[in-house]
Amino acid sequence: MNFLDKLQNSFLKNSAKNAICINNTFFTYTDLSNCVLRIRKIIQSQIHSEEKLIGLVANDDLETYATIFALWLESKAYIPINPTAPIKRNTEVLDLTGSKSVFDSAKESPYSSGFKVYNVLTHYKKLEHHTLSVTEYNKTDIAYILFTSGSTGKPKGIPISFENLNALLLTFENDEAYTINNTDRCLQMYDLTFDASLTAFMPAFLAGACSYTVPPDSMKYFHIYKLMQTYDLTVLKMVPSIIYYLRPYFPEINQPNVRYCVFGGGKLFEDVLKEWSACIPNSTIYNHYGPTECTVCSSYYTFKKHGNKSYNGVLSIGKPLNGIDAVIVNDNNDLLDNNKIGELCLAGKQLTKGYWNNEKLNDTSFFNMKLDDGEVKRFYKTGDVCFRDTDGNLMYVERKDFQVKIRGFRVELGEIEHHIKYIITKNNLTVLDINNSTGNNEIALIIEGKPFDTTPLFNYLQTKLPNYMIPTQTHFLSLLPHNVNGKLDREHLRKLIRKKQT
Amino acid sequence: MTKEAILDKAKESFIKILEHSNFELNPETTANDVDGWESVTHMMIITDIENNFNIKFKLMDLMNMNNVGDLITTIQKELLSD
Repeated sequence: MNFLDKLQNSFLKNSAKNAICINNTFFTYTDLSNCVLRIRKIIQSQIHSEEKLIGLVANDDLETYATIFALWLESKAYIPINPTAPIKRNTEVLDLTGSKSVFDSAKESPYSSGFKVYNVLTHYKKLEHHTLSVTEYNKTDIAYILFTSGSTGKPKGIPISFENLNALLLTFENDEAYTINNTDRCLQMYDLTFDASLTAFMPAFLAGACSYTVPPDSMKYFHIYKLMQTYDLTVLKMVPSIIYYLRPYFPEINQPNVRYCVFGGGKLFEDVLKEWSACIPNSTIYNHYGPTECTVCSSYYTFKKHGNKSYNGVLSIGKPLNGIDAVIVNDNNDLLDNNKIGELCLAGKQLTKGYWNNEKLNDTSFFNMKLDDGEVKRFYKTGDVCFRDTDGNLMYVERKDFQVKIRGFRVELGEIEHHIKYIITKNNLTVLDINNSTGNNEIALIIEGKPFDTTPLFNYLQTKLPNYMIPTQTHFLSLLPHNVNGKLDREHLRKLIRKKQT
Repeated sequence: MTKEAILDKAKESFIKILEHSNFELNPETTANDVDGWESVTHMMIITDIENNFNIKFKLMDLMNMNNVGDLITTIQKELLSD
């Protein structure tokens, strides 16, 4: 049975239960089903069956979640776009996939000039025949395409098939150490353009649990605590930075009813986690790891009270999920022994077919390798530098390139520089991820030369980049430091910035 | 301290962290009204205010803080409790 059939069963079985709570308003599984059916009707009557890739403005409402399921039932993919990101960038993403149709639940959609926009609310029609049954589809059909920042200045698309997603959800379902049921209250803090959202809302909907969303314009960490308090949440899935922010307030937090706490989307520091575990004394804590290319989650580690595995204070990312092969290789793609540091590469049913229309990148990011049993498998080079210890746990060391995580989003610093250099053409400059006083990553822009007004630059960046990619600090230095190889010395630069700040 | 005096002193933290003074702060002002006031800078502003007023906010107050008016009331409450 595939996950869509299971989803249908869950919706029917739990029809009277709450499915989702958005801004203190509850919607039952019946509300959700009815909304899915309404949208499905629109898709069936107005969108050609061959048109597979559909844009979805990721608003925080019932219609947006229902649209995902309605599209899946019609074997179509959703391409989520963030309503706060620049329209130009979102349009570029939609154009790259050739999408012609966009679902937007906002009253006035800014996409109506270039696309056929469907507004679920205005298309409301009462339905006579109710069915959530799944249309015939091909396992290799795409379920969603997510776009991440690319170093050439162009976002890169990662298509994930129904088969990929099914493999992930099946592994979760068969994991006895993680069983969500229809009385659970689950946090859904992720933006839908971020794939970690799928491991927040999908296990919840499949189990008939209730998901609690976090409004996009809120101070997330405080709002999450408010949801935990108000609704006595039992399952938390969060980016690690939430607990880095809440750390000064840990003594005030006590949530004994949290059963599971899952982290995903960034480095998890063992010391903070240890303190956090006292706030949720009865919870099992997991550290998820996985690139979008291998469908959200590829490995996980279970936190223990004592004797955890970590490297440089960063908690282990654990062992690969069932059905995933993980290997550590050197620059020539040769297998490395345990405890040797190299690049983590992944293979298995969750692996994407490759980047959207980007053969050049696919040639460098994927390779075939013969495994011990003689089978040849296609591996993805994650760009994450790791090693495997003698117990088989993977340890995260660092990113291989300059791709960093800002507020959980993957960012290639090269893409930001690319846009800055369009405006600032005369100065040497760089952008750098810097740990701020709260322990979180910020993007700093460092320009060589005498200070000048950067307002025109930032006005321009706001039309080109999503908010989280726009530098939040600007520094002017008389000289950018370089090492003996003539490469920019990022560590030295970080020290200089830190000195300047104190 | 009067609410006006608290507001003036709190504004210094906003200017320092946001690195601009291109905003008005009144009781109805929210993060949406001020450029650069978002999750990351919010925490830095809160920390700076705590240091300047020599107070420590409670999580319960922070989670119910929806505008500048709430912020000022909370600072006043903390000042009185010391």
